[in-house]
Amino acid sequence: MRKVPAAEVRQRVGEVLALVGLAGYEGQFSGQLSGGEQQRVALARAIVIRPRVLLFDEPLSNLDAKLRVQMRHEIRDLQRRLAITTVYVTHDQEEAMAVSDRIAVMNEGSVVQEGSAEDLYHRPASQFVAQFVGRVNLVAGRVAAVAGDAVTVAALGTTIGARAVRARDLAPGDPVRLVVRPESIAIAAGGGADGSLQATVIARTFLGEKIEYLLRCAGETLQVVRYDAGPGAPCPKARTSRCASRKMP
Amino acid sequence: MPEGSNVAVRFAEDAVTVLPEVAAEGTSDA
Repeated sequence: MRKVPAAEVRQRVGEVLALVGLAGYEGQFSGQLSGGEQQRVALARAIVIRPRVLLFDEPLSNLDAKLRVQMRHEIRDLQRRLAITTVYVTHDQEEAMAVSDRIAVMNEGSVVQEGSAEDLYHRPASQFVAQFVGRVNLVAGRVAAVAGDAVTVAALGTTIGARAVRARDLAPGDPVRLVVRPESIAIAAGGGADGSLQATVIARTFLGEKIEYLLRCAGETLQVVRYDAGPGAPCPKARTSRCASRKMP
Repeated sequence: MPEGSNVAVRFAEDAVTVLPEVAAEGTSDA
């Protein structure tokens, strides 16, 4: 192995197998390993030569969903322990956010935005990035007024205040899209009071820890996600030993 | 909130971003 003495090879192989949680597997054949273990062996083979940079190209695409989540945590943990600069290519946006310090979103061969997961999710520079990273509502509207970075937009039959990434490029009357994440929309029974918008629930899907809603609001369809705190949620007041009641959403 | 019911909708403060309208945008290419 790269002109490394045999004794050192044995030592390094032992170290790297321990690092990926496969100590004692030296004598196993590939067919005796699970999918996750085979992936760890591939990782061990890459890091045993002590590279300065690691490139992962869709490393988890062949694994089932549960194992993918487990392996991405292991890869992230290992990368931090080894402190190796790592380039990780994936089409899975959640995976990208889970393993990265910085993300570059590419479209047609060009980087269209680069930044932290929070930057990309909360401050997308384009509709492409907004739609590519997570779920989003893109609500059609027209600029009513611009004051610095603050923009007032006529949309959904009312005016809505928002931030603009490039407010100086906008003028009253310009067609725009409001970017609203599904979890940033609150809903309550009834409707229309206190300046809130009125909508109708057209679909409700219970997904365990969250409930997804599709709403019809002033001719637009809005995706809404509300998280259910569940029966084990902490009581709102510290001195209260038991929650008396909990309203279901 | 059951299907068919009327609801009041509010956007969280500082959670709305404005982007210019574009005619068409491409597809992903990692």
